[in-house]
Amino acid sequence: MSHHQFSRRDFLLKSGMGLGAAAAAGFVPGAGFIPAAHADGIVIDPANPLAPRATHHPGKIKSIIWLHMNGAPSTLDLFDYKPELHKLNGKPVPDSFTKGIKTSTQGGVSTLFASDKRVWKQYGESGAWFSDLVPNIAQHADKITFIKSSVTVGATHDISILKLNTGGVTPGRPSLGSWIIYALGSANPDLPPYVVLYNGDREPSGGAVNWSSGFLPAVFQGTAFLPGDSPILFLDTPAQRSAAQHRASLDLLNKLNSFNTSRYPSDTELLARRQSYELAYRMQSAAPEAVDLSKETEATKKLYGLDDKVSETYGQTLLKARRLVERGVRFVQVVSGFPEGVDEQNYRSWDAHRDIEGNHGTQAKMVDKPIAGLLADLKDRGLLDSTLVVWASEFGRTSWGESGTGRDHNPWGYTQWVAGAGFKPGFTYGETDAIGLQVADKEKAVDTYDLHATILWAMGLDHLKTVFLSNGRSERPTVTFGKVIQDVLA
Amino acid sequence: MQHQSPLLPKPKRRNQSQFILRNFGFLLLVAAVFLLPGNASSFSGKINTEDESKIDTDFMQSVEDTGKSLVDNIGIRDADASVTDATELETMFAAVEEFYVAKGGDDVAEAIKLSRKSRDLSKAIIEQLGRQGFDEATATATELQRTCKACHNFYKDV
Repeated sequence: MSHHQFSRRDFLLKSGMGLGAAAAAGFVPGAGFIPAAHADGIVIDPANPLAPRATHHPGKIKSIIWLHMNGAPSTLDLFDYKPELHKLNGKPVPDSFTKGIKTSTQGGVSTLFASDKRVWKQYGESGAWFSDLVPNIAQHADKITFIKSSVTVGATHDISILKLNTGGVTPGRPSLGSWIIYALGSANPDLPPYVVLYNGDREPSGGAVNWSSGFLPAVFQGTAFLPGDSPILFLDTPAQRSAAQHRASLDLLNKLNSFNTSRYPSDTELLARRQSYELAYRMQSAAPEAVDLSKETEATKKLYGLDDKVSETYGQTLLKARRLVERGVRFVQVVSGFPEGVDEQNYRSWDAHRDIEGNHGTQAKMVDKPIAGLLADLKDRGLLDSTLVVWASEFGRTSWGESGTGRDHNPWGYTQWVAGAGFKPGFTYGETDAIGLQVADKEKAVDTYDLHATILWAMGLDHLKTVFLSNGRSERPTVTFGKVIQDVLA
Repeated sequence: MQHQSPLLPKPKRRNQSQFILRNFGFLLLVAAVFLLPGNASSFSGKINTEDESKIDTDFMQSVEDTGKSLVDNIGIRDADASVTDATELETMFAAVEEFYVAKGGDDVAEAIKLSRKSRDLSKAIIEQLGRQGFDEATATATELQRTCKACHNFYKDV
């Protein structure tokens, strides 16, 4: 036993904490202790916890682009056409529609609201309805799988955003992306396997708990890329230091460490630490290149709406997302912000408690062309066969109006959609009631846990078997819930 | 797939009622003595269906905690603790069903249906665990949790 190991492990032995198991363990910077093998025989290499791992069954998705529409759009004004709501516009909500729900949101229950400016049309062979707010996404109707019976818990943004991303309503659980990296490892050793992107001048609502690894080892957490050309803080080599100097100092460090590595060959902590230096070095060139849009053609930039001030910054994030999945990044979480130069607070997210025309006019214009461009681009490059694009939000918005021109929060029935690998294209699952307030058939309600379980399944993972033991609790991505919605799978 | 630091001994997932009895048994006994004249039947006994307070927030919290404990115990393959939890849940859901049957009214049909379903699922888990069918029991316990959630979509307050 090496001296280095002795000091730590001998202590644990004398403390009666299980040396036998410790012999199989390794400590990884940012990863904590990880066992060499788990109960089902799938091996996690403690020296390389991001090594690719096998799926439970053959999966169709390799990468996910998770589009979180921050602030919760009114899908009643985008995808969920309700003629009855237009007929009842301005009238009180019939009691039959509010049965079983608690309307404790801040605005209370007002009269039903439908904008007379909205124009609805059917698109594609599937005949899916789209409003005039999303004319470009509408062109991809036959690529989309709508889940029009989405439900969630809570009526405040931060709590429901947390649930959308982690399944929990309090901080501390791993996000979906972290579970996926934990289960599958990385497909590109030069880049973080889980990247978070956003547009706007600030970090998204709720912050890093939404891409946290929670109780999973920290190595599986998301890496937030900053908007702009330098995506990771402190990644750039200081200007006064040449690349050669930087490489030379790393080589020296590596050489010194190698002396101890040869003396203590079983010390996985040291091995992992050496590897982490090299990963950081590789990322210094790989990460900026991955988000460098200068080599993209003008046509591609236009496709993503970079030629329009309103859609430019969101288009840049989606173009970066495509470049990242092209390079094997497994999970790209994109949080919508707001266009550059938008001073009106009410237009800085989808949270339209008032002036839904102005709000959704801005937000929809920001995302419509970029998302349509992303779908077209992924298809052209053959990436839509292995990538899933997810349109998700923390909740929807009410059928009744708020402040006369807005809508309140609605967790009882709203639309989310997916497009790409593993799902039925041009298909709609579930529906809301005639005014778009609640899920029509409760048996078809799709909670965030169910969406997570279904996406994991399409990735080749069984959510019931994707388990991590934390403090004696058997934890999984879907908490204690989750059901794979087989009807939407291709 | 499962991971746990091998440096830590695998903690046995406590069964909630065992934990309470072990740690607060004496206090419970004292409380029971004081409460007996007022009919302090626990959920494991016959429910007095006219006393609606028996199925209250605390009771439902116990159901929720026991459900979570069940999922954990199945996850760590502790058959004994899982069966204890499932048995307890079966009794609890019988009490819930009895409560709603006695309550009557126009809007209890769904609650009766879902509590019956929950009881059946609890029984199924016990049967599955009896033949070491942990994967099946995991799926059934998840269905049970979903049923709890579905019921609470309708019935937020007792």
